[in-house]
Amino acid sequence: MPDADRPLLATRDVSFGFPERPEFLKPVTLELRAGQCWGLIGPNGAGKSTLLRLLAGLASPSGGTMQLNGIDLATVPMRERARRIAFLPQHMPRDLANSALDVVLMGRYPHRTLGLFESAEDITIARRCLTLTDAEPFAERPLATLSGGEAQRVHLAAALAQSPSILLLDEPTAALDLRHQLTIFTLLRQLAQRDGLAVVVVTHDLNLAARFCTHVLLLNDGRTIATGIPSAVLTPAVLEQVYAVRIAQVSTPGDDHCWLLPLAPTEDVR
Amino acid sequence: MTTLAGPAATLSPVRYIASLGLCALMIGVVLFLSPGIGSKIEIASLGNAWRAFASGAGGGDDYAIAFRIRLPRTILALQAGITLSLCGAVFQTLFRNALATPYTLGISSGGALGALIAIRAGFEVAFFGISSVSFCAFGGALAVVGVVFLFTRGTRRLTTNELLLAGVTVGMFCSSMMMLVTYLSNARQTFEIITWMMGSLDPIGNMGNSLSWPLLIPAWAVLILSARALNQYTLGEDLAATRGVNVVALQGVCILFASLATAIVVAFCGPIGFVGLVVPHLTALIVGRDCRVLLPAGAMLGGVFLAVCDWLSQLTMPLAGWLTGRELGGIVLPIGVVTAVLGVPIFLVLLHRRKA
Repeated sequence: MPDADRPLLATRDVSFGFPERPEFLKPVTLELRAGQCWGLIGPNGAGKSTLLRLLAGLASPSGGTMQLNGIDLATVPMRERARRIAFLPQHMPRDLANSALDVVLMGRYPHRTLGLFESAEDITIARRCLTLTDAEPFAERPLATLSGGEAQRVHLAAALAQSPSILLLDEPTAALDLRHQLTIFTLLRQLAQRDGLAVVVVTHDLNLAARFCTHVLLLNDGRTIATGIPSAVLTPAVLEQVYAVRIAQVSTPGDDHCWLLPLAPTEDVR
Repeated sequence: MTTLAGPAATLSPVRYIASLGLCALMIGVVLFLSPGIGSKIEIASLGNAWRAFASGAGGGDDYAIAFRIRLPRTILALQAGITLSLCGAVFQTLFRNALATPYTLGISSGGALGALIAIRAGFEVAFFGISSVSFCAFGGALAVVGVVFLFTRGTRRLTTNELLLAGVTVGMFCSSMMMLVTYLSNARQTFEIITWMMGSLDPIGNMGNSLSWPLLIPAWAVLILSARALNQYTLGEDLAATRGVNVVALQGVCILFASLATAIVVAFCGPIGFVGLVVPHLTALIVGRDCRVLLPAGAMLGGVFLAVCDWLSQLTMPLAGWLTGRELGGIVLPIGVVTAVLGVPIFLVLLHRRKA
């Protein structure tokens, strides 16, 4: 790490528009640093996935600048970018005949420019990633035979196998059971704090974001409503306005953590 | 993509070399046998024939039949089979559609329309030993792909469904124009048209060879070398892009080279069907869906399949004559008929097994 202070990925007033919605995402400024785990939250259509795609380099911003380690993201060669940024889309194919291990091995693609076969090291890394996401038991099974949640864990393992310094995940726990929601978010937090990755995760689960993310960015209607540490951003007052839902804050005995509980949609439309 | 089951084991160098070695061996066997198989099987004299070939001391009618007719015919079948099967596998991966064939973008219809116009107009001229029908078929095939490609290519990435729809639509337009040309033709031309549509593996001559090899081999190489990128592509265009695959370039290069190679085959052999649909699936069932092995193995098996179909097309009538004790003559069945008769049952069984 040449400069500990420099953010791994930084956006400055980055905006984005579709032909039919030219000013969809209003300028966002964001600095992702090693050790941070960001939660991108907001209602449907708020621009969370769009921002994530911009960070992944899948779309070019219509305004503003993006820098990867201080270099303009658009000028970074694709393969070089792929070694640093791993991205997991919301929807991944499930009906593949490839084994889970093969799918994870494909994550090693950016690290092998030449050569047809995976090295022993690639296979070791892939197996370790499968273990991390609790997918090792079905490593040899074709992906098509796995359940939605199992396949999701395999694809997450593939993103980890890419050995990135920045991990961008779009609703990685959407299909997961309670136990795996917790284990995956624990893993993401560990990857950030122990291994020094920068993690950005889009999620609808405010409580998971509050508990495991070091920072959150709250979007509504393409506009950044708030950024900061979860306890500052995720307050009932802010969330009620953004989501148009009445929210209660409850604390469990013997635990100083507060839980957000959606009660009912508010009567007045925004 | 809808996938037929197949082995899911991780590709190891051993399995790779074993699979491709076996396929290469089959090609070798086909080539070795080919001088002995035509309208009758003469395996016994193969040793002598190859010895004569090696010493360059060949002569006589038998030698001419073995090495000027049978072997070139088998080589053409291998060329066409390799191309069609390889391009079929690439298109099935690229379009994530199990029913995609090399002809999905309308190449065969465009080529056929070009050939039909040449037949109807009565172009008798041959350029450099290649018939004007072949030239017009080649031009028609490329024109159709060009139209499809230009109309679906915007500033954004190609969406595969748009390409498929455009290809099918332009193909339908060509088909109706073919009907018109056929309707306006006389009986002799109509017969010629129908014969052309069935496909043929009659040797294409030295000029045809010297034109097709330099175009086919680079196309095969480019497509087979795209295997690792195509593997990423099966996971989705976005994911492939973030893994470092230039998706726009991959689509463009694959469509360009697959279309070029298919157009050559259509120009020389007519629209031979089913190889490009069935053989990739059959191969995937044996070696799995990993493009690194599926593309080269599928290509070689496609060549073997078409060469065997060609032998069957020559042997069927003499065999039927021998069985019924009648003189049926040495009629060569249209190759398109044989590939379909052999290919359709295989494909249906595969579909059934997938459901089971």
